[in-house]
Amino acid sequence: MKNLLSLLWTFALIFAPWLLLGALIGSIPGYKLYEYVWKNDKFCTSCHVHDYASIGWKSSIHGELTTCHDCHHQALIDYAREGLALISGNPKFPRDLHHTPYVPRHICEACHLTDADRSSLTGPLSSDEVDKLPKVDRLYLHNIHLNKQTRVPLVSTIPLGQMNEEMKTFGVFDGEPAPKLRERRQIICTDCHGGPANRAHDISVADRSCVRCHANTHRTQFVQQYGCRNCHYQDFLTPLGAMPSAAKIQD
Amino acid sequence: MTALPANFLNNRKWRILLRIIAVLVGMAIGSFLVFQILFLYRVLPHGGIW
Repeated sequence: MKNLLSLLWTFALIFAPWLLLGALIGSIPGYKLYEYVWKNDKFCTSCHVHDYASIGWKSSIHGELTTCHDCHHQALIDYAREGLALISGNPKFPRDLHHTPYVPRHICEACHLTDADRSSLTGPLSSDEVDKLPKVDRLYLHNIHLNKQTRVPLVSTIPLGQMNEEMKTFGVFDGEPAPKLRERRQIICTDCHGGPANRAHDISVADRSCVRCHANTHRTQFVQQYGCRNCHYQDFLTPLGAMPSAAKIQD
Repeated sequence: MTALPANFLNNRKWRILLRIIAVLVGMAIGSFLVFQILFLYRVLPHGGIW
């Protein structure tokens, strides 16, 4: 045993420089592999063959500006579980999708909030370019909504079976009013940029999202047919300082 | 299994062969470590382990 250790030690001493040289050379393919796994959507889409979601993402405004890991954060163990599920179960859409996607607020905030934590961003945008993206805390109606609370449940918390029932009346002006929660909760991005009307990476806002909370705001048939965004869309992109009541909000 | 010659470290061919093996082993260790460190640096702060 002592002889073996002695022999290994001699080996290490003689060949340590060559091991180090190899490690230095090996760090390049290691970094390239990391770049491919973390920054290239082709790594994810080679297994996640979901045309509906890939097309939704590529055709959306985020298609050329983000990669998968910018928004899809998960625990380390889930990477192992995914591989196992793919081999053992081979899940299929929509049979095996049992939930409505939930997107926490901080994922959107990384790009769309002033002074947010950007450490998770891995897309092609530089820090300067991210600075130029719309910041919701500086936009008038975005700011108002994000500082409000609601009793309307978040769509992603509704079980999928119940969701199918609610789809019949979701976002319809004269439909059944949405069920209310006992306690108020903070409004988050996916209250408007999500839900059954916006599945699979298409997160543009539809009038149906407004109606869940604002069904009774305008009661005339004309306004209901004309839609919400024809009048209110621009105020979601109006800078906070440009509005007369902005000073009150900023206070 | 054929035993190694007693003085194989003094043999030029053996030394070259072992150096090549050392470089290859080093490459495997280096690339694995760099990938793991960068990958975990990204995953752990946002998703944790479990």
